[in-house]
Amino acid sequence: MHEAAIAQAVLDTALEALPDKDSRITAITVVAGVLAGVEEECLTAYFNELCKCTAAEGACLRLVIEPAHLICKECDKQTNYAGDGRLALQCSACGGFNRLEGGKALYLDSVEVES
Amino acid sequence: MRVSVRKSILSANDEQAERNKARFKASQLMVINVMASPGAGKTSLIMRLLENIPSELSRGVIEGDVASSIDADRIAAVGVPVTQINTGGACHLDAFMVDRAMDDLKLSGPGYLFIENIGNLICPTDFRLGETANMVVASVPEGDDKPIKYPAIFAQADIIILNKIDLLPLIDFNLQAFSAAVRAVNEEAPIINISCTTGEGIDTAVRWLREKSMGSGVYI
Repeated sequence: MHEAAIAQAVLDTALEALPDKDSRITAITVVAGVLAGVEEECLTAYFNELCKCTAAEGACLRLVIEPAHLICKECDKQTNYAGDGRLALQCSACGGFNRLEGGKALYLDSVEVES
Repeated sequence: MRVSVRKSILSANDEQAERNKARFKASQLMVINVMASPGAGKTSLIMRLLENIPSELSRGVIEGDVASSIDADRIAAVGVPVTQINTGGACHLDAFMVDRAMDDLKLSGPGYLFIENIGNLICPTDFRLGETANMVVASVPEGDDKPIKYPAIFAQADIIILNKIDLLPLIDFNLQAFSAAVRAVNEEAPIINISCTTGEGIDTAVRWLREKSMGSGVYI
């Protein structure tokens, strides 16, 4: 549900990046960490409505999901956490406890612009 | 033509949160963003904490709810200044809403301001408000696996309160499993077990508030 606010912020940030007022945005790439909690279908649905009558109308929204990392506190073994399945509390190699790092990014990477 | 932007999507909110933070600091307010699922006991906890704040300090509450003023009425009934934000469907508070609520509340310190966020373990995570500390409230009936199922909100907590521990004998809840789950996503935040019904553990939470306020440069 917070995707509505995020879709609006994506649109505002993209429009600010327009080099001139006659150009149009055809594609937007957003990077979201897995812990940012952004649901792609939901974000796209809001974006497709909000972009109407703006210079980004009809733009393709690409969402790149960045994983978080589970790092063993004992042996430093690192595994990716992609948000699916159960978050592993313990290291698969040595059984030590893991800590979770990263996965919090939420930024507009780039826009494709045509004049 | 590809234009590289690399700008935080929530930068407008983050910038407002920074302004809020400066405003809170200038007013000598320690501000606690209280987040939890619906029914975990956010309002009950805030009321318990308010009772234990010395009377020479100012106290205030910003209540966030999708609809109704039920929680704000409870706070107002004990004579504490309160402002209600109704988001009308939105699932989180943002820094702009808090700024407007502060205009209404007109609270100055030294003292404590509690912001009760919308009951939700997902959406409030991304929106900073300018708070001094993030408090996440879990409760025994929700089960001990919540930190694993909603890692992001537990990861950013400065303090985790486990409420309704008076129900432990009745419910299949493993304290050790809860603590291990929290530690996987957050190594530092203290976990304080409390019961708003019996009052157990409230003194520990109040002590944490006082220590945190000193550590944050808010003179209380």
